[in-house]
Amino acid sequence: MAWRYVTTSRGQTGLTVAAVAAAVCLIIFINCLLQGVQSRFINDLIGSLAHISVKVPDPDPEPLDDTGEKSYAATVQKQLQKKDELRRPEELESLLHSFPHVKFTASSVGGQAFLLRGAQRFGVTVRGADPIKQEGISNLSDDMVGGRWLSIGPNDLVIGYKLSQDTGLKLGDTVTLISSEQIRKTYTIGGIFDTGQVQVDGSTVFVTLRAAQQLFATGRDARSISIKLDDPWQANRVSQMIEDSLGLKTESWMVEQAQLVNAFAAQNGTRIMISFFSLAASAFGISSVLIVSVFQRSRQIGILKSMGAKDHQILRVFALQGLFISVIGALVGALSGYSLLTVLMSFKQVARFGKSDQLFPAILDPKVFALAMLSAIVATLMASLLPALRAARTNPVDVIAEG
Amino acid sequence: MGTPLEVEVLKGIDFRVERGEFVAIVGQSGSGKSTLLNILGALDQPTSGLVSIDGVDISTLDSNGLADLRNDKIGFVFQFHHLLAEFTCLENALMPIFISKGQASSEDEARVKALLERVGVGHIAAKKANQISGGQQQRVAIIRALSQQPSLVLADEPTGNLDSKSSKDVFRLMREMTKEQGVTFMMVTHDDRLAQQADRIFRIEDGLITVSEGSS
Repeated sequence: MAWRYVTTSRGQTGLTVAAVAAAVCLIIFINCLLQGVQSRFINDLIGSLAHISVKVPDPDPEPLDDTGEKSYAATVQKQLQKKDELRRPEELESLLHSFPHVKFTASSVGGQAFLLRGAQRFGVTVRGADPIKQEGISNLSDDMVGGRWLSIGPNDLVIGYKLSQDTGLKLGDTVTLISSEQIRKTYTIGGIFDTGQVQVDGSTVFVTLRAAQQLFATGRDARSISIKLDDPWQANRVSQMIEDSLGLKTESWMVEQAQLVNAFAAQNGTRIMISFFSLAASAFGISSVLIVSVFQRSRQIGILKSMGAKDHQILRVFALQGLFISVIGALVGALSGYSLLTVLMSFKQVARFGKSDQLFPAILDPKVFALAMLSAIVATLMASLLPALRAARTNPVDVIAEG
Repeated sequence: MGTPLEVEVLKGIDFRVERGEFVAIVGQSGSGKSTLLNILGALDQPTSGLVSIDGVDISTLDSNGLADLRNDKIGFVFQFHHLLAEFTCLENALMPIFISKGQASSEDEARVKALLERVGVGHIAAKKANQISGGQQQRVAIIRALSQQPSLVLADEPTGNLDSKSSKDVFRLMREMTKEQGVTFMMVTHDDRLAQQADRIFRIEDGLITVSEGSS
């Protein structure tokens, strides 16, 4: 009977299905698009950074004896930073892989150095890591505009495009670095990258882990271990777990980029509010249409009850009507959302070096689709409950007497 | 909020109707005919007294029990056919069976089709209820009332909305079905000539009933 009501009142059914579909489509559109924009934003801003950096903890401050003219009971002063390194980094990496969400790890040695170019000196930040492992952290190969990265040797250096412009260096040139440890080494320019971030492209150079260990005299030790998680938003939690169980110092990107995280939180709140109000508006619309439907059919309901239909049977008819509408509406909405996003995702914008980016970087997340459809079905069912209850409580004597 | 005003419509009435009997209920508007029909149809409860349908005291039943009683033992025919426009004539006639069993068996369908044939509307069984004439609609409504093979059919001015020819035809059919199906018919009517053709006439005046024999 519910199905017959749905199929015979096509105008009314079409209206309610459209209301559900519009809400589902809007929710999917907003969430997938904002998720994509957010993901692109995160990738652009922290894509080349670790989600967590594990380092040697700072030593505890120790009271120093007062030796000056003034007399103090005690003076507490943080020790000057020691070049303490992480010992046996390979073992630590395997240990870190046992923590939840940890996807990639890469031991690294980094520090400051001068790049010598004729009489000129350029201050650079040297990052040394195993290219294959580092790829999991910073995905540098995607940003390569010349030469190679993954197969560089211990005498190769990979520099940013801006630095290559500033220094006039090109692939195959030789260049000398002098580290803060005053160790001097000569390298060949093996690759040039362009991340689009001026600071990185203009002052960071990459070498192999072994090369960096030699340049900064760390032996076989590492200065930090970078971690990439399968979910960047778990960084604080995993970071805390590592500190608690291994006693190492950690830096989470969420702490380092707190303002960005706050902006994302505000954006997520807006996304949820828009989704909620879309659903609520759709539910109100559906409830109103179904109330009118119940009102129009009140005499029919009375007749059915005079023929022995029970309250729960009437309730079921109108609840099923709501269910049909919600399921069809959810499917239509999901399909419309998918089509709309697919079309938008096909638009490209040209970036530098002939690369092209999506103009609308949406993510077709099945979870968003499932959640939008499920919440629309639940909201519609709840919206149909009130009219269904009203229908079930119809007194046949009242409506039949109306003639 | 005060206490709702209580109006005594029917006053201590007492009667018994035999199986297979055709009773006409007559009276002025507002005399209590419809109230009596609602009580007999288990749609309303009397404030006092006993109403027994086919040996079942309706005051002992809860709302589900009353619904089952209406479905199983009572059929209704209203002044307006009240057929469901979304359904065919056959589906409308089978509606009480749909309500009790969820779906009709092939035997149910054959039996109800035969009844529709019997009252001359078999050929429009597949048509939607809003595609047929008023007289045909009321015939379908009568078969709907009979489809569950009830003990009692209550008809509230079933010919009141029909022209005189259709009115006579429908009344004749009801009389014939009473005999053929062995069902008790109680019909409210304003038409004295039709009432005279009943087995008995219940005349309601000032909430009281006077019973007389019909001329049939």
